[in-house]
Amino acid sequence: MKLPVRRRIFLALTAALLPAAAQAHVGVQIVALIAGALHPWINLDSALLLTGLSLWLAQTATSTDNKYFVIVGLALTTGVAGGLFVQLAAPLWLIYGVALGAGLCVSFNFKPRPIPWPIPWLIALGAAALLAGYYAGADAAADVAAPTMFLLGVLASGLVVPLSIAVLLGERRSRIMQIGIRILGSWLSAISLMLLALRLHG
Amino acid sequence: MKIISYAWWLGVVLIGCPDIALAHTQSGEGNAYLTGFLHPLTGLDHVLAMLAVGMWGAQLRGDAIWVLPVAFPFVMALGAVAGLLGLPMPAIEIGIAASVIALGAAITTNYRPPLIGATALVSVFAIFHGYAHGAELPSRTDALPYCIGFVMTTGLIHLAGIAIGLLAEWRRGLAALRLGGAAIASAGLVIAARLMLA
Repeated sequence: MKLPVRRRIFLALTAALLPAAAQAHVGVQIVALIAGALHPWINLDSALLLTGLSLWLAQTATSTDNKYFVIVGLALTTGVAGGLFVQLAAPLWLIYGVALGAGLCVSFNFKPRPIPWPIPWLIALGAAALLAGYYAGADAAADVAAPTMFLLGVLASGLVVPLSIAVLLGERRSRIMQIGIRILGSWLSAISLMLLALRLHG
Repeated sequence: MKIISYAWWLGVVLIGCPDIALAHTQSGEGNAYLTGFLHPLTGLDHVLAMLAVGMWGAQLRGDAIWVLPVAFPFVMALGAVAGLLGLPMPAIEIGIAASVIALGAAITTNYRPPLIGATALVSVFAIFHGYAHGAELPSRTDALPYCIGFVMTTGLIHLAGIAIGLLAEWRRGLAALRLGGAAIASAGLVIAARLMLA
């Protein structure tokens, strides 16, 4: 039986969400994989940025135009790898500022002009993805027993989850779904604005 | 059919979700999130005003159905920042009570200002609500999960209001909606009267 693509993505997400209840005695490898997968989403700042990026991508990209997915995927991967191996300061105000921008773009449905080539949009989404990826991979535990599995876990959840959300939401073009995405964007921008103000105020 | 299909998958996910989140009482970030999430629900004035925003947006139709619930959280955040930073702002409670009365009255009278006017009115009231949320952040509570909590609750009440407001699509539904608006405005008057007498 061949399942439709959306169903398969949903099935994969479901499988990813399933608990460790059946894994009472697991090895170091799987523990590192799970720790890596949880890493980008346990940190609320990172989760905020990844969610904003997912919604922004969902609203910008279309199923017939893959370049946004390619750029964001590459930038996320590069960012995650950079975060794991290169120690740079990623100030929180920048994280909140980018999340605020993404939330506003989603809320007001700012669309790139299709002609001739939406370079500024690609650069903006790519930069946001790079930052989100970097922050998702940063501050990883240095003493992880199985670094390769940890890296795979971070990549899986930091890359696959945002792209899957974008695909799932991006395919929904009903008015209700569009309104829902805009409202989610406003939540995101409101939260980011508050945190940005608090961070700048010190 | 699609809804049934996805509801089935959601059920699978929920059954699969472990009891790790339920095994212990919340502390730290979980507690801050819960505090923020519950904060708008602890005041009837907040709940009624948020419901009214969604109801009015749906009643106005067109772009108002999303503009009002989008504008409200963003402006509310500005008010919350003022509250979190302890900036002075007068007559907060009166402003909140006025929002309940005005929004309820707008629904009752089927008042249809231009979109920008409705947005401005809702935004002014959002500042009062946001300030109250921000100023009442409990000490030693992490601001991030707290903010996520109360923004989410606010948005969810808006969505409930929109769902109620969609009754306006039907003739009898519109009458029921206006009746609901009258009830909200009346509750606002009671809240304001109690504030005056206190």
